[in-house]
Amino acid sequence: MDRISGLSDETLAKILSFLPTKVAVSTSILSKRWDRLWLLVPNLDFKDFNGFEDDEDIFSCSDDEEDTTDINRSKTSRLRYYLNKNLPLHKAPTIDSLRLSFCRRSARHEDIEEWVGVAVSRCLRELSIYYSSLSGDPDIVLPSSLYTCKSLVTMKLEGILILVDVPRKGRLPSLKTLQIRNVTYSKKNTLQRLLSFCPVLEDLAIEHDSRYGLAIISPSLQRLSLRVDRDCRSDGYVIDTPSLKHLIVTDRRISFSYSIKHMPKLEEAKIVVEDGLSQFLESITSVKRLSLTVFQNNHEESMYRAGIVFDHLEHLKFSICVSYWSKLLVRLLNDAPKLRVLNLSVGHFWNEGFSWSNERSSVPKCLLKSLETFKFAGYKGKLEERDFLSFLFKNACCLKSPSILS
Amino acid sequence: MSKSEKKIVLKSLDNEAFEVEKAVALQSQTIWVMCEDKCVGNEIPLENVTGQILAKVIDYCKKHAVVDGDGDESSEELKNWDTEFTKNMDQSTLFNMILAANYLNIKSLLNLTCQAVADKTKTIDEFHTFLNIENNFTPEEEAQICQENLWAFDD
Repeated sequence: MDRISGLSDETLAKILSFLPTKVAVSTSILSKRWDRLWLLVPNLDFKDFNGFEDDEDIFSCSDDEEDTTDINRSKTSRLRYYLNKNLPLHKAPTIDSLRLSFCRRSARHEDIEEWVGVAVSRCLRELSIYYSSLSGDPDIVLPSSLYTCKSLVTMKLEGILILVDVPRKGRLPSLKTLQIRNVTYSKKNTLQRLLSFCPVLEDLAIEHDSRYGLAIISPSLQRLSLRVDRDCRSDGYVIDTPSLKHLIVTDRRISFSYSIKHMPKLEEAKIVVEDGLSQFLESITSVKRLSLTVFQNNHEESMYRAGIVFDHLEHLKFSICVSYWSKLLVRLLNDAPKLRVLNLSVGHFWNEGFSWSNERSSVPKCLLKSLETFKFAGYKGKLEERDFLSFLFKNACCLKSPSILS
Repeated sequence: MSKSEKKIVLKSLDNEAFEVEKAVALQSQTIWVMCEDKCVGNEIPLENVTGQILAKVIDYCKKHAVVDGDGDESSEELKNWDTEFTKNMDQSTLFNMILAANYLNIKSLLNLTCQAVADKTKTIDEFHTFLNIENNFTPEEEAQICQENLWAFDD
């Protein structure tokens, strides 16, 4: 026998674990020693988008009768049959990760449910399901055992046909990373209940396009990334995450309302909104680095209440597409006494903007004391831009490396 | 701890002796257990590893003893070093390194060397050629395996 085949099953499985799962499975054909060794590989990644284009329901036709041989079976269901037969035979004591990427033609909902059930029974650590579909009734209901899985550290779910339906009681004591993208929730409080199962959750990413509102309540959460689609109909979102350090919000709805609790530990925030910036600013005053992108600016809406100070803010990136931007910016500069770096990016707008000639603004402290770096992108030479720049250059005493690009 | 206690001598299968810092050698769980066991003196015989391979293992352990626990930049540097370390190893050396890592129970080195084998064998043909694996199936058996694992042989 060749020397490599003399290694233990565990060592050979370790080599296979560094290969794509499909290659690992195909090594069964190498020799008798390698036959079915992949059943010991703890990280599994299965992907089948065959037939995705043609979205009609193939399962209505009977292609899965017992006597049909693999060779005659359509390519679209090969992996499905393979997993139904082999995954329950998996021999590793633990499954480190199970990643499933399928579409309606390549796997039925009960297949996905079954495979997840098998993995959960093998002390699953990471689960990732991407189920691609343009339409259809949400019918993938993951087994309730998933919501009491002690070993699960990471869970990623994506696809509108995944119906997240959490049991009344559950506990995910190890779950640190949760990503939920455009799933369907069974009830109004489903997500809130799921989060309540996760006492050590650190990282949460949500893409929300649901008729139900959103309540993100998590005492342990450190990183939150939230994306809300322009057409999303729900509103009245709640964010209560007192340990948060990093926040990214992209909300493209024309109008919205948030109730956000103060985040005293926040270090970094990136906020991209059409309008309504003020709803965020009050809760994020502890940030060191802040990136703001505003597409429409109803300047009354964007102005935040007086008395808010960004005591720790050192880096500010400010991108805006409408006139009157400088009013909001000067307000921010006034409230950021330690600002060192300002990156400004101004998009197109049709008028000359807001003129400063009659304004007497007090000089922000950061201009006198701390602002060292200034970058301006998208300069068009409009009145508002010229006025702002002359104000800045007149007062910024510590500026070392200004740069202005058109 | 006196100076001599900080050092340890590792003796290879072919009687080559290597004096190394204890902190370097203790990355091997096997050596760690031997050291815990009071019967062993300052010299540890390693009956499964040749001097040529042991020298490489010690290189690896030295590098990882120094840099472990530092910041991100050095972990990037360490990664590059690891890649270079296994890049030009031939099949036989790589194989002996896996055996040594297994025997000495150095998990990160085992991962690294197994990864290196996987990197060199992306297809069934590469498995056969790089690892000299002989197909011992009859044509009927092979057809059967192919049939059972049809999915894995799709393009």
